[in-house]
Amino acid sequence: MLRYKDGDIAAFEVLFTRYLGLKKYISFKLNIFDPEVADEVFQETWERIINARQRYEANASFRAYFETILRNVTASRYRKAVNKENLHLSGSQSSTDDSEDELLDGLVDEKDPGTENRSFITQCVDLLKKAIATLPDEQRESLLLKIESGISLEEIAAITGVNRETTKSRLRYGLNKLRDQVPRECYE
Amino acid sequence: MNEQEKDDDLELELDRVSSLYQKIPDEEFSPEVRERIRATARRAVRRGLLERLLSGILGSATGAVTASSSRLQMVATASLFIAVAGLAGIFYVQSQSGVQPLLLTEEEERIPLLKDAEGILKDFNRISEMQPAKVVAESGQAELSEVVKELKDKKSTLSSAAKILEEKSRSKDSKNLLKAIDILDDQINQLEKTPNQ
Repeated sequence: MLRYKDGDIAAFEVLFTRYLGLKKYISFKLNIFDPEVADEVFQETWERIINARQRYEANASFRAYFETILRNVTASRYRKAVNKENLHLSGSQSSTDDSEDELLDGLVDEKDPGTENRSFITQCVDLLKKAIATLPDEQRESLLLKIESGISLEEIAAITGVNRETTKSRLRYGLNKLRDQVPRECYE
Repeated sequence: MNEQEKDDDLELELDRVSSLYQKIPDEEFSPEVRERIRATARRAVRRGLLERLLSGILGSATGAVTASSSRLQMVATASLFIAVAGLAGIFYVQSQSGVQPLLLTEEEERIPLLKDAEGILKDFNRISEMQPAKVVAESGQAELSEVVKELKDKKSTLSSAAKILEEKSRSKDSKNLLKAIDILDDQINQLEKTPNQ
C-alpha cells in the first residue's frame, strides 16, 4: 500500500488481487446474500481506500486497515438493508433446546426430496451458513474477522472498538451458539 | 482450566469452524466492478503525479530565476512551463462550455454506471484542464495513448449513461452528458494530433 501511495500502480494490482476472494465474506458480514450488494460494498471500500491513500500510514497490517474501512461501509449498508426482503436467511434460528441428535436427524430429512442427493458436508456447510447468519452482529463480526482474515485478537479488538477480553467473550459466545446449531460431526 | 488452556481451546475451536467455513464455495466479484476499481486506482495515480508535477514546475521555475542557475536549466524549465500552460489554456477554454454536474436520485445512485458518470462530471473541468499537462508531465515522454484511452473510457461511460437517462425522460441531463462527450471528443482529436515530445 505504501508503494501504491507513492504512485506504483503495479503494487496496487498485487495488493488488489489478494482481496478478490472476499465476496463470500462480505455477504456473510452484511448478512445479505445478494451478489450485487457485495459487489457494491467491495467497490465502495476500495474507492475509499484509494481516495484516502495519501493519509495511509502503516501502523497496522493492511488487512486490519482494509477491515476498518470495510466495517464503515458495511455499517451504513447494514442499517439500510436490515429490513430488506433479500435477507434470505432471516428467521432460521434454531430453538435453543434442540438436541444434537435432532440436528443430526435433520441432516437426513427424508421429507426434503433433494436431501438424499446432498452430501453430508454440503448439509453441514448449510447449517454453518444459517448458524452464522443468526449470530448477533457483534459476535458474527468478530467470528468472521477471525476465521476469514486470520488477524490477531488485538487487531480485531482495535477494529471493533473493544478490548481484547471482550473480543474473546464475543468469540466464545458465538462459538457456543454455533455448537447448538452445527453438530460436532460436521467438524470431523 | 487455566486461562492459557481456555485460550488454546478457543483457538482450536476457531480452527475447526474456519475449516468448515472454507468449504463454503467462493464467489467472484463481477468483472465490471473489478475493472472499475482498477480504473479508479489508475486515475488516482495519474492525478497524484500531475499534481506533484504542477507544483514542481512552479517551484523550479521560481527557483531557476532566483537562484541564477544555468541558462540551460532556465530554458528547459521555461519551455516546459510554456508547453503546459499553452495546452492547459486550450483545454481551459473548452472547460468553460457549461457542462453541469449530474444530480442523481437515491435510486439512480445504486446504478454503478450512473454513479461513474456522476464522478466524471464532478471532476470534469479539473480533469479537462489537467489532461494535456499530463501529456507533458512524464519526463517529456508523452504517453498519449494512455491519456487518449482514459478519455475514450470516460466517453464510453458517459454515452451509456446518456442512454439510460434518455430512457428515463431525463433529456436535460442526457443533453448535458452529450455536451461533455463532445468536449471529450475534441480533446481526443487534439491529443491524437499532438506529436510525441
